[in-house]
Amino acid sequence: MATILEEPALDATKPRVGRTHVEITGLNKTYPTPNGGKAVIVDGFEVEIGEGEFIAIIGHSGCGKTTVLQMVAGLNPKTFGTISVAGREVSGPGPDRGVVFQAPCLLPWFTTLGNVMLGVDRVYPDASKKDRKELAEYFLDLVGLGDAIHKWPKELSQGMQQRVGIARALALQPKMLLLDEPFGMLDSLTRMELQDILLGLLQRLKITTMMVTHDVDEALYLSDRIVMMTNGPAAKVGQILPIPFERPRDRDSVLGHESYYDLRESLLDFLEEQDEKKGKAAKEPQPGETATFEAINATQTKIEKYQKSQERDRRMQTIDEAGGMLGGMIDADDVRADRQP
Amino acid sequence: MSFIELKNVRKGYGEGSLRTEVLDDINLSIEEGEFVAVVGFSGSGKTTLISLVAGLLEADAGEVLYKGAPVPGPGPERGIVFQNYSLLPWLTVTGNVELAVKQVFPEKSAAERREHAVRYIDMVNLKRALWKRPHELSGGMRQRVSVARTLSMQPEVLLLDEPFGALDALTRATLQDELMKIWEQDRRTVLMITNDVDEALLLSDRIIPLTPGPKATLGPEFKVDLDRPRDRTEMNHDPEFTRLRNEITHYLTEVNAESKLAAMKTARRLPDIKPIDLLAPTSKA
Repeated sequence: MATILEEPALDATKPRVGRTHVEITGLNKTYPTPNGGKAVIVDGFEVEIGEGEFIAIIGHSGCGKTTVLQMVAGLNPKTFGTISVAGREVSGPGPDRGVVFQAPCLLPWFTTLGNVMLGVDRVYPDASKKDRKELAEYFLDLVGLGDAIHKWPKELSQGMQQRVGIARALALQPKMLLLDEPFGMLDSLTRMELQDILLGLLQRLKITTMMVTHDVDEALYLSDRIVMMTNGPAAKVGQILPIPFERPRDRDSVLGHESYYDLRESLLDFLEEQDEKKGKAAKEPQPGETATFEAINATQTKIEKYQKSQERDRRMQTIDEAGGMLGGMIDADDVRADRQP
Repeated sequence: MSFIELKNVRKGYGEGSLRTEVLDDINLSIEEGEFVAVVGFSGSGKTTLISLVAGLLEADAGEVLYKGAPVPGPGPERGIVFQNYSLLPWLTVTGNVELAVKQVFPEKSAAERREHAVRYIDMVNLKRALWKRPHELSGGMRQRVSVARTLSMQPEVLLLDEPFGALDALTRATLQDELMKIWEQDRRTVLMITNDVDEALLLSDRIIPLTPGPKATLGPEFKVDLDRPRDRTEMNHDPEFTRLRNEITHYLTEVNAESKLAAMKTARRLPDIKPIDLLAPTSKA
């Protein structure tokens, strides 16, 4: 394939920005299966991320992108390999890595400010109350919620709720930001709005960021490099695409860049290729199109059933995830206890 | 004479100090056989707009005309597909579609109705699910039933209110392709509401942005002169596609930036406090 980039000397495996800040080597996640076997989800995943660099991980759904992110967050223990953030090995969740999930996971009985303060209070125990509050307000201002600090989560749109989630993560002043499809639940226009906000924030704060997404346009707009993951099982880095757009960026100049649509296509091609491989692996002997159709619908129904069963635990999960997101500083019981007057 | 025409339409909700003007000064005319997409932000009044055309709501001011006459209320010549499917849970796929057929074609015999319903269910590739009830179907399949139900009424106009908004990207693409194929057969007039620029570019002849509310109004229109049938992968190479995609995106982010991103500047100071180092050897036993 023809080279897209003008800089042939570029080594895609090295950070495009800053000195190495995060280093992941030989990362592996293996689960035992009920019949005594092993399910290797991720194997040999490696990447170096520079200080202040933004990398996106894209891949087919179910390939293990989120598993990688969770291991970096320390929410899911790795089986083998090393993950170091700012020179320290990750051994569990911590406030040095701020996480934003797809669902904003706000605690409904706290206001916008209260949700942010929950983490701030614990991470800055030595600061004065006034300073802590000002810090929370500062970050809420930055995400454009300065006027909504006393609103309840239910009064906010989904996009606004997710902005609280971002402010909550940033207020801990983490060394690294981990974003797991943070805009996946939003409609495409709100998504663009939040991408602009995130871009503006990172422009200012220059935090090393790893984002999992399957939105190709989002990855291109925000990243310095895009890591394409192969399909599971035993998923690893398939290819790394350096993104040549200059910073500071704005959407017009990125979309208008001469190589934008070429890069976009190479990403889509990669995903499609992975799709085909996956498709082949999944249904070898099935003849005829109708069988495929039935299989797809059966899968969809299964997924929906699964999602519904998940829905039931949503409330508890919100509490647990919020606990995890605040760097494991509080556990779910703590938060539940907080609720008692 | 336009097929559908909105003249200086205004619509709001509430009374007194609680009043919100949703739509203001809406002017739109759609020709017969045209596929028009209105693209707008959530909460800007897209559903209000389509409900006015459907006759489910009445405008506070201005006129909503269908073939030159004021819209009297909802009618089977204007078929709607909602985002949330709106299927009756106690009826099978066939039952849901037959119900609509019975309303619109009361003169048909039971056998004719059945045949008619099945034809449209087949059109959306659901023949294998004829006797399934909604809860047994995936979201994509439910939306197919809803599309089949609307098509079976043989409406003159299709009103699509974010029909694929609740579906995942893959299912959405499949249903967009199906809709495109069905539309190609008779090129009926369509008014579609969406928040997805790519979806609008794939399907429509004309894209009109709706500005963020309150008092949302229609922005400048973009003519989509891309050859049909369109292929989502090949379109990527078309300079006209990328030009339109960039221009529409530019317009939408611009109108939004004026209203929302302005708030992002802060006059506050960042307190000089440092997070505790949890992982330092002394902090935890």
